[in-house]
Amino acid sequence: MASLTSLEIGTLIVGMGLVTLSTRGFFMFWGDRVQTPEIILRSIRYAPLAAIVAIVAPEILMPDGATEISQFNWAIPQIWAGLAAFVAFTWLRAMLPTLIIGMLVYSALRYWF
Amino acid sequence: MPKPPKAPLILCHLPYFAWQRDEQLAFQDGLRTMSKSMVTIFTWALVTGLAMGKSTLTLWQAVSMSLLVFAGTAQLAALPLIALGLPIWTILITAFVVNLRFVIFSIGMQAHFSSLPLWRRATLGYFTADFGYLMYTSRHPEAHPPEESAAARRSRIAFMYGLTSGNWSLWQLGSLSGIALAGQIPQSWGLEFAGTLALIAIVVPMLDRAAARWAAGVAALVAVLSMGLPFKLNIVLAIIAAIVVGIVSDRRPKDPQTNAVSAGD
Repeated sequence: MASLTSLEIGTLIVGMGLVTLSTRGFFMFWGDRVQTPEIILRSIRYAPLAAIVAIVAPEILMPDGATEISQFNWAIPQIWAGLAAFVAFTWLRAMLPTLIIGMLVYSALRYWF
Repeated sequence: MPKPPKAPLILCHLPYFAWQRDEQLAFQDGLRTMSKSMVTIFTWALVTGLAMGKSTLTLWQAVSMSLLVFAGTAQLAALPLIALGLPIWTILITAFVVNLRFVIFSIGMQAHFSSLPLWRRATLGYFTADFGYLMYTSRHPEAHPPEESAAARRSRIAFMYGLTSGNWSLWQLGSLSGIALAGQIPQSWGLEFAGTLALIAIVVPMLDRAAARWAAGVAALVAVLSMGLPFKLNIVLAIIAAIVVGIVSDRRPKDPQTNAVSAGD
């Protein structure tokens, strides 16, 4: 198995920093020359919500390492722990208790299933 | 606006200390707004730090990746590829595609900050991750009107600096703690799942209107159905689906929840 040299890793880290800069700044580099139409701004208003949901949903709904929907299974701790955290946050509106409740359910069910 | 009290000589030339009072207050407001999500950001960063600490990276490589890259999902996607020893360019392309959502966010950033000079746009862009963009656009859903006063403009820019400073500091605190603790926390605790749970708390308050709930539901469905795609492209598909929901909900002005007055915030 090949492994990267420390020079390669250093280059990679700097390169990934530049990737962060270029993706987050992508359309900002146009500056004042372009006026974004209001309709486009309105249509992307749920983009940040969708991004976070898309990061969370597969982790909650699907077993670890799953790659397709046919691997869906109700008997995984993530679904019930996620549901518990959702209910806890909706009810309590506090982050730390939500995390503790979610992790307790998750840990308990991992021994159960 | 009254001038702030004279600070010691060098301090008055630094950012923040050289600012007007209203800008300083807006910056503090940004810090405070971001700190409400402190637990979420810290947990998510801690999980990323743990993953880096347990990976093939050395301590200093992990620390410099945390400080320089500042993009959790891209870092988590890169770690297994680094362990496999894949070529650098493959890993860089992966990082770029995993970060594509920020390209979409940058459309919004451009509309809000296009009047700034290039280096300040680049700085703001670099430091604006998911949480910063989310919190800024929920405070300022519409792009600034042309007749905006200079003071209002200064304040919203300082507010954004407050958000990004808070986000960066909390993230690095969590991420560096994770790197430091990686040797002590066994995999069997399943702590990675805490990062996912922490994000639920960010999502729930955003589901305050029907169109947002539709967008979230459709995004979740699309993300799960397309989870087999490489490069986390399912995130991009989910965003496109949510954009469609946004457009469709604008076409139906009869729905009081999604009409032009209330939508967008």
